[in-house]
Amino acid sequence: MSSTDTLELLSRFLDGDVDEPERVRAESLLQEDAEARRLYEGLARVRGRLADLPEVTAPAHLGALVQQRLAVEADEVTVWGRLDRQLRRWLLDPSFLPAFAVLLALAAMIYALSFGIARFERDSGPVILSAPEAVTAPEGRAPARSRALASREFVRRGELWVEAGLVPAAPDLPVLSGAELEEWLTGHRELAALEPLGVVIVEVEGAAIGLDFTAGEGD
Amino acid sequence: MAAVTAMSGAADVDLATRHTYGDPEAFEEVYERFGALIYGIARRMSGDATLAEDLSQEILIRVFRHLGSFRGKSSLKTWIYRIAINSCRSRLGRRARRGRSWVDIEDDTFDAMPAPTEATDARLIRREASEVLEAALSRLPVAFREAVVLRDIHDLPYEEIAKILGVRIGTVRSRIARGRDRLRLAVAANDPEVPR
Repeated sequence: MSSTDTLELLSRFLDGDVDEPERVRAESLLQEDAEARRLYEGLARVRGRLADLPEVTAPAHLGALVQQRLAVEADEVTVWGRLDRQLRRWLLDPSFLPAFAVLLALAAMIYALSFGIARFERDSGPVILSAPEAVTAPEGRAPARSRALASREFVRRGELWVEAGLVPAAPDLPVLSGAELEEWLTGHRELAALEPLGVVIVEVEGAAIGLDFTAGEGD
Repeated sequence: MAAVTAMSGAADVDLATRHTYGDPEAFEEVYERFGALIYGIARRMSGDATLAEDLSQEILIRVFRHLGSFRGKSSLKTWIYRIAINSCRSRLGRRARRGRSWVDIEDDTFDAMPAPTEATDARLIRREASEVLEAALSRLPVAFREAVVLRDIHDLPYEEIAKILGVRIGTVRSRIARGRDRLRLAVAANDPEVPR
């Protein structure tokens, strides 16, 4: 019999939780084995001491504390419930329709305003250039000039007029990197301010793009 | 006996039904019947009066919230014990994970406790012995502690403990035996009356 088995048998014997053969085994063990007797006595004493531990008394205010916490929770539930019922009443009452219309109009105005602000904020940000779709200019012709080229919208739409093949036709044009142009455009938003740039070649994402900032007749 | 159990079971379900229909006296009755029991479990499981008070509130609020779902499959007492034990397990587990782990009973904690001097009278010795035992109990692994508390302090039968803990009766027997043995070793270090 292992020590674990002995321990469990004696612990159960202590509680009277044994069948007849187990009882006989436990009793003979206790008669013959001093170690088992010591173990049993120790277990019995621990059990007795646990049973004799002074009774603990719940604090007198425990019930009140619980009631208080429950009342707070109930109040929260009631507030939301009341609000919910009120909203339902309003929604189902036709006399509230004009008020709803006004509210709806207000909401639309707020949305429009916030949309405008968001757009303004977006437009105020740095210009991001991307390689435009290439437009093939007729052979031998210089690129057309366009006032609109200076506007950021125009750049955004990718309606730039130069393709790589035209660059060699104007070898003396200044070349800017995309980052340099972006920096320039960020600081000069008006067409007049961009005019000194004249016509430049910009390298954006590996593509050469011509930009004409001189004032002229638009397309 | 079976008739008495069936009657008290019906009364428990009736109590739960009254609570569901908003009778405030139903929960008051639950508190009257089980408030002390709940605090006792929380106190013995936590080993700390402040924590026990907080735990008891938590258990009572859970009882309040779920009383409506009591269907009488077990007695209301067993059902409340289960909620109490689960709440203690959950809270004590959280504390243990936060670093206040349960020290193994055989570590140096008990050796460090002062042995009673000869000058102390019998009452003082008894009190010290109780304190040593309570300290040892609060350091038992939670699984052993809940089994020992339910058996030796709350005097519940093995079958009911198995139902409360949701384990087989063999597991309950083993946990009780091992828990008692650890307590024996811990207490014996300070108490010559308890054989090692």
